[in-house]
Amino acid sequence: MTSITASPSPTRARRRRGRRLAVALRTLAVVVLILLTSIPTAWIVLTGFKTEAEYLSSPPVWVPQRPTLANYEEMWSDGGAKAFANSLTVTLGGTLIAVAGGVLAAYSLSRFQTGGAGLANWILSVRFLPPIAFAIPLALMLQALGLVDTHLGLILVYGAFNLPFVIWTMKGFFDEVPTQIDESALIDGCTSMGALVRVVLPLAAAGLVSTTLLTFIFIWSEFLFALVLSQSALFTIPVRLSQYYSEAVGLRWGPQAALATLAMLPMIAMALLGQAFLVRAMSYGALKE
Amino acid sequence: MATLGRQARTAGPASWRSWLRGLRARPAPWLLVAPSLLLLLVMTVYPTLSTLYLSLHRWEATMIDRPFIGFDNYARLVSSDARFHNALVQTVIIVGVALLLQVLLGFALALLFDGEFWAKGLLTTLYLVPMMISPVVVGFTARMAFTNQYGFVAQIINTILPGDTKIQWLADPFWAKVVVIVADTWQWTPFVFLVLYSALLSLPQEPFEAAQVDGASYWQAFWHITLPQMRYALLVAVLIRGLDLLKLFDVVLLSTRAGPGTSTETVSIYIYHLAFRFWSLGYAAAASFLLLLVVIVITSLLIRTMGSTKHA
Repeated sequence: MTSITASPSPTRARRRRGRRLAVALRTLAVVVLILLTSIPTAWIVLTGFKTEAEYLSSPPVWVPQRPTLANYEEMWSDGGAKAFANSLTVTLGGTLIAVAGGVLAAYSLSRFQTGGAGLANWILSVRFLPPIAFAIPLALMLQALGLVDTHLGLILVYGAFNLPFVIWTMKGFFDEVPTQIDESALIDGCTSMGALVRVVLPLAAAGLVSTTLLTFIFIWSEFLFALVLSQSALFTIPVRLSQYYSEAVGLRWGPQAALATLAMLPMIAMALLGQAFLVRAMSYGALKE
Repeated sequence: MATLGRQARTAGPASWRSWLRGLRARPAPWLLVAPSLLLLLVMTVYPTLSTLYLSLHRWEATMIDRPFIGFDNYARLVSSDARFHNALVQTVIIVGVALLLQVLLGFALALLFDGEFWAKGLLTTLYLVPMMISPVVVGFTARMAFTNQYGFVAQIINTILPGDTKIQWLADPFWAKVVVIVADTWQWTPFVFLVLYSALLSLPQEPFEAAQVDGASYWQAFWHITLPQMRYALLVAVLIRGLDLLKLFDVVLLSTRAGPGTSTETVSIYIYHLAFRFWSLGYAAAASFLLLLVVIVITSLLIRTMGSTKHA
């Protein structure tokens, strides 16, 4: 088995050249794949800048010849501004609740195994519950509390349903911080809360940032609860995006694409940040290795 | 501290008391969990019970009388509701085909990415972008892509196809399902890829080196070494995607609008129509509860699988 290290030099040279080629081919394949998967996204963004004649042309016009902001103006004055404000409010509120509650719970689960595997698994199982099964009782409940069509109602629902993701992801990050660190903080007279805030959280800062960003994106994109738990005043961007259909004004693809671009904005910003730790956070919530 | 949790789970009166004693001696761990726990109980456990209660009543939003009718709603769903049966069939078809496609593609891409190439970190992140796009946007994009006259994908395919054959993507029950499946696969293959790719990276290297020495081909090594070791990751990916596909809603509503007819009406969309278009809340609750039972069974399977991965 050790004989493999003692291969003669001509084969090694050939192998190195072969490896170069393999790397180049692999890079080419991956780049082609990414270009192909980017087409739909690019199409949406480009359509937002097309004139009506361009986005309703056959054969399709790919790149707008005279880029226009008219779609953005129409979208913004036609409910887009309100939807943006609503989305921002419920997303910030929901993210705050999920992250604040989730970080505390994750710390407790990571350091004290509170509730054992039973509690951790139950929390995880909430992530998989189908929202539609909760739409009816939640609508009735919020109605009874006078919270239908209010930001607060949606914020509480979003906070709750995103807690499992935050708890599991942050638990993963906390598990990686050695326990001796908070133990020594406790000996120095910190409370467990103080140890978390002053010592452990700064060490898991990268994880906290990516978890918060992903939670923000999940809530920003959510459709079903927003659709069902609002009546008229409280429509978020996804809900407004779905309403373009029921209007008898023909295909308003331009403004709709402009709104869709607005919906993708946080995601685009994050992809540009392109941090490797985001990738890790994305796999954590789903799969704890 | 770990014993505290274990005792709490075996629900005898003695362990209950020792759990309470532990709580009184050291309340901090439970205080930290309390806000989350409270919110989760209010937002998930109460609604579950409330769904069960609703499902045992004839509860129409438009009627004042809400009589208790036992399991009548369930009986009607199972025995005589053709539209519910249709929704089940459509869901099974879409979930089955989409899962198969995503696992095959995801695995192939994981193998492709598992090797040296330039700008690896950046390119890997870029491939994951679709996962982060709102499903509503994905559904809208699919509609724009496949609308007959103006859709950019529809037009490309029509020019490739010989003669005057034109596929009526959104007007044909078969092709409408294809549109939904393509849209979901575009968005979620990166997730399957991510799960399988991280599993590939954590495989031990020794068996591969030994196989290389023994002169095994790439495919032999794949069948006899990679695949057997990947079965837990595959199962986890399939179960998670399966659970998410059972929730399929946004993409369908925005792309095919559950049509033509009811040919892409999934269970989630049928429940939505029952509750918020026909206002049969009790009946919709019964369907919700059945869906919930299926999801709970699959979830417990998933959690057991993930638990066993840690010790494997």
